[in-house]
Amino acid sequence: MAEVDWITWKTDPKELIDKEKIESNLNNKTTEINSIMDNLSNSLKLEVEKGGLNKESLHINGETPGNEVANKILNKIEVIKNINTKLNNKIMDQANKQKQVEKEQLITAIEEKVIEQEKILENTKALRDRLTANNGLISSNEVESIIHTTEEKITMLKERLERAKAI
Amino acid sequence: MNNQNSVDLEKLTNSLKVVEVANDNLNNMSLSNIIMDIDSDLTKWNFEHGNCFKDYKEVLDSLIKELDNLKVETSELAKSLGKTISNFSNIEKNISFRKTDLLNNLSSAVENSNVNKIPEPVTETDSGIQEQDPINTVPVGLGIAASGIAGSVGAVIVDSMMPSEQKDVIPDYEEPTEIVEKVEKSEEFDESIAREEKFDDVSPYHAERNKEVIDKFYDKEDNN
Repeated sequence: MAEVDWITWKTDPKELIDKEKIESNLNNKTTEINSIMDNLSNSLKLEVEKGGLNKESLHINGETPGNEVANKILNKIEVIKNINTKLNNKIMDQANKQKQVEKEQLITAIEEKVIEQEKILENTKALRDRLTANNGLISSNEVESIIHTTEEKITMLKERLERAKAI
Repeated sequence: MNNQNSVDLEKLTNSLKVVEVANDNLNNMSLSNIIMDIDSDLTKWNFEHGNCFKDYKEVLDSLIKELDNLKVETSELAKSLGKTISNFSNIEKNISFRKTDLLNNLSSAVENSNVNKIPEPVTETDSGIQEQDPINTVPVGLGIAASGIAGSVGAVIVDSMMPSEQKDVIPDYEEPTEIVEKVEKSEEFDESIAREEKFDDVSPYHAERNKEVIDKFYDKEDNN
């Protein structure tokens, strides 16, 4: 049987995994990293193409050490950017899967809660019938109040269920 | 393999500045902070959503490792560029210094020498006999000296290739032993001559005595 607290917690959209927020957060971090990497890459590329890190600026016996190391660094910058993109993709993929899991859990929990409340309603109605027959101990007003409250709960739960399905 | 060597110190110096700035940017705290923030966010999201994010630590670790490698390589590039620039600057200074030195020596040698003019050749032209410009011996001397400078500059380059402990060690000039001995001997000889020559410089008393002895020797008294 589903826990009422759990349902209350999960029906708050802010408490469900927010993949848009995660995506935005990761994109900001990626932009910052790429900005630093691109600045570094652009300045080095300029030096490799026209400056002191091109082959002609330091060419000793067929070796061009400055150019070679600079190109190695440029490749490493691309590797770092690729790793960062790979990390983002991985996190977003897992966030999408988690959202789907949480949505299914929420729908199942609300559906179980509806069934629980319907049983309460059914039992209370049966009690009312017996009280009417036996001119029983509790007043019919009290029984009517319980039936009314339970019907309201079921209505609210069904509304939550529709909202959960729409997430 | 291309053996055409080239070093552009000005461009290398500019590149060194660029690499140093890049190195500073890599080593400042922002990159490390961004990665720490990503790690912190993922830990928080995992706590709230039942450890849904898996294997990200490995990717983050490889990111940190690559960044560390990048920092090391950039730093090494800056150091190597600095060292290369310093070495080649020293060689240039050395060559320049020795060139100046040799040119000064050449100038003073030319100033001190007698410039002999070779007789002017005479050529005949349509307009008659025409004298050619006098041929000065100085350019010839300069040519010889220039060859000497070229040789010295070559020596500087070779010198720069020598092991550091041997660099810049120019052996003192030593006169060959035989010549020194000869010179010493000749000096002694000159002194002996000088000593003999100085026999004439005697005091009047001794001169008188000498005269007496000489006169006796020639029996001058008898003659008197």
